[in-house]
Amino acid sequence: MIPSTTKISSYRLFVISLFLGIGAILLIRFCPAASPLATILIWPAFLSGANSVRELARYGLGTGTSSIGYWGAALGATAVYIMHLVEPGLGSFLGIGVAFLGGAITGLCAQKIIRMRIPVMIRESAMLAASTAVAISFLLELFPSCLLTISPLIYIAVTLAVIHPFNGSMGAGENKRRTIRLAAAEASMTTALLGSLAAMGGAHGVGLSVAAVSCAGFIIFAVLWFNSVKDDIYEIRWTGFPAEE
Amino acid sequence: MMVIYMDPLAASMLVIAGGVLVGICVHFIPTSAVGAMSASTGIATGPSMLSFGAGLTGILSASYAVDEGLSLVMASGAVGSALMVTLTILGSNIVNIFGIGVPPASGQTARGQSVLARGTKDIITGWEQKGFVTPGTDGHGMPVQTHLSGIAGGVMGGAGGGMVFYGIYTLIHPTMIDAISAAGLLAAGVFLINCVLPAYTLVGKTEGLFDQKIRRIHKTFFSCLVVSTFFALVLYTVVVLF
Amino acid sequence: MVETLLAGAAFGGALAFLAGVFENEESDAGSASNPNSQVQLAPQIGHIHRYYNKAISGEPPQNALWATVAATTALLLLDFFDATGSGSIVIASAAGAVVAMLLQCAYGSFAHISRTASMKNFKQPLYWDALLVPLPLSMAYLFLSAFTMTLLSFVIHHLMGNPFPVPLIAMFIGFTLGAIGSSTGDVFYGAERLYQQYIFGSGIAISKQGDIDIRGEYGHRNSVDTPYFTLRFGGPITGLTFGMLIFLDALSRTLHFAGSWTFVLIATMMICLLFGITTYIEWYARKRYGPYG
Repeated sequence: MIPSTTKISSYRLFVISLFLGIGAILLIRFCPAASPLATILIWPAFLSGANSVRELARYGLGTGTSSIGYWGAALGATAVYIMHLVEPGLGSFLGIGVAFLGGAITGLCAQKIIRMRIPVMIRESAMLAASTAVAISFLLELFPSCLLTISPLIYIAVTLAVIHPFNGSMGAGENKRRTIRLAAAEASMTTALLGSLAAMGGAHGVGLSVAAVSCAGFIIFAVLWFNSVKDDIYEIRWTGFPAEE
Repeated sequence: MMVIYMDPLAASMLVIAGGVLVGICVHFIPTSAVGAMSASTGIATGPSMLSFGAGLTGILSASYAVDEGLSLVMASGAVGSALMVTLTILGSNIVNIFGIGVPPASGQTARGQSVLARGTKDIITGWEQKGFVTPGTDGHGMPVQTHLSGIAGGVMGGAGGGMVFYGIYTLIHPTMIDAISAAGLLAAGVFLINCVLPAYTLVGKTEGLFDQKIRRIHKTFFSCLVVSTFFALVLYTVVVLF
Repeated sequence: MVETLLAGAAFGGALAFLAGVFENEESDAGSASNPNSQVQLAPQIGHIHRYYNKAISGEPPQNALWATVAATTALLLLDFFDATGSGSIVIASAAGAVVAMLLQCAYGSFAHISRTASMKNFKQPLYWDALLVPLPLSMAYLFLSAFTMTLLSFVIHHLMGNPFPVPLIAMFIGFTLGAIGSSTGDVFYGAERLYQQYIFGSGIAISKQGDIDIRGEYGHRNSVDTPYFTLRFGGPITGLTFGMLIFLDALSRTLHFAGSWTFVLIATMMICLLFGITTYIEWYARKRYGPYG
């Protein structure tokens, strides 16, 4: 699944991740036994978010990659939390819609009022906000009881999982394949972290299964990522000194 | 505990006004990413990052006063943020002066491009800036005029953050038990969304009120107005409908 | 009541000072935040280096993540074991800091390896020992900083009586400390430590950027020597700034001579005082150093 995502466009990746993500939210809400499957289905949402950050930050925005990420995640998180705090049932899905709209409006402001010359600004910021909203809605389902304790962590953990793949691979030789594989590894790391916290303070069984599946996924994706590092890197050495200039 | 009563519409207006103020405050806080190499005047971090740090201190200060009414919430937020900005400037200047060995100097003013002053002097103290800039750099540290502009930005950001916080709190507290924490979280979210938009306008660097980029403030004003209105509208609809 | 607030101010100030020092050292050990751009630039102008390039994100968000992870884990642990009392809070905070430390280890190694892989055109190799030697050091600093930030959040919630829940406070102070650390202590790293071969007393001109010092006391410089150097000045100043922020903020809440507005009055006076001190320092520096040229 992962090697093929490197070839598809960000728009298609977003649509796929949106449907899979909504499926994952429904699964974990109504059929907790299927939580391992739901965990796998939510990872594309992280990939889509990381891809949007990559598309935006590649242009050199005049603000840091991290600002883009935490701003996009803030749009998603604020929309979902507003909806979720007042109406827990439908809130997640409405929140995704509001986040998409909010992202589009913010992108429109950046494009039309501030006049940034980034052709993909509106589309990518809407998709970034909506992808983070999907991921945040899913993670909120793991904690039915202690919502306000966990929501700051969910917000900031999703932010880092979305910005870090591009920020961590930045440089002249950055490519989409390695960035997306790193995004998958970090997505599974984030779900593993929140799954193990859920096993302690929320839905115990679901949390454990999410954490177990995520750990397996983390190992697979980390190995995949390291394979692409070996393809891209100049040289790997145990130790040594740089050659004299 | 004082009973808070505020019309939902008025509370939404408060959220909008606070959001716009938050956006504008970023223009006043002097920041510059290359400041970390003492290569440019301003606090050595991203504009949105520092404003957000200051704004969160403001919201944290404002939260103590949430039962005392709007004016105290705004004032607490304002002084909280201003204290953070002042201390950061003090710390940063100490590092610049005693760690790097450079006196604070404004690069734009040294080039005679300050918005309010004609010459190359600091507008508050009248100290000459021209010879004090390391050749090849765009100033370093925070001279007095930039410091004052930073305090003004902190006051605005904290007051704006307090307004957003109080507006959201009055909107949601009839429907929720733990409304303070939810309002704090949402206020932080609205603050974040609004303080990154000006960063697009500023392109990573500003000297505050005396920078030429202050002339682009209307762009920030309108974009923050649109975005804050959207979120205030969503909040208002949700609260009134459910 | 006043005694509790005073205890909160004392504890909070001390913890904030330590958190600031450790946070700055953690970021310097991994060349994080804005000076990172120089380490990133070095291979492009031909300086193959052995620095640990821990680019996780801007310092505020990453620091907020460590603080929030540690505080949330601590709180959930306390709930899980139904524990109360200050002893359990300390143990739970340490456990939370361990989780944050493991997370930083993963993010930091990912960033270093992946960024080195993006440097192929500039012939920057990946030296395993340049990553594995500073990694435990930066993890240790992170443990200490996450631990003190979590304890500080508990102090702010319980002793100072802030109405926000502990994880939210942790996120807020994490962001604030990240902003302060990146703007005070990192200047010492970015403008002095990385450019030690240049003469003291000048900013780094744009044309010199990327020309970092890759020679160390012994052989090539690594990221273990860096915190040893910055701990002398950059770390304490970061700690002082953040510690003063928490301490002055808490201290101005202990008095009540003007009702609820006392805090605003005292804080305004403090801002004026600090403004005066900063102006005096600037005047002193201008008088002592004189103009260039």
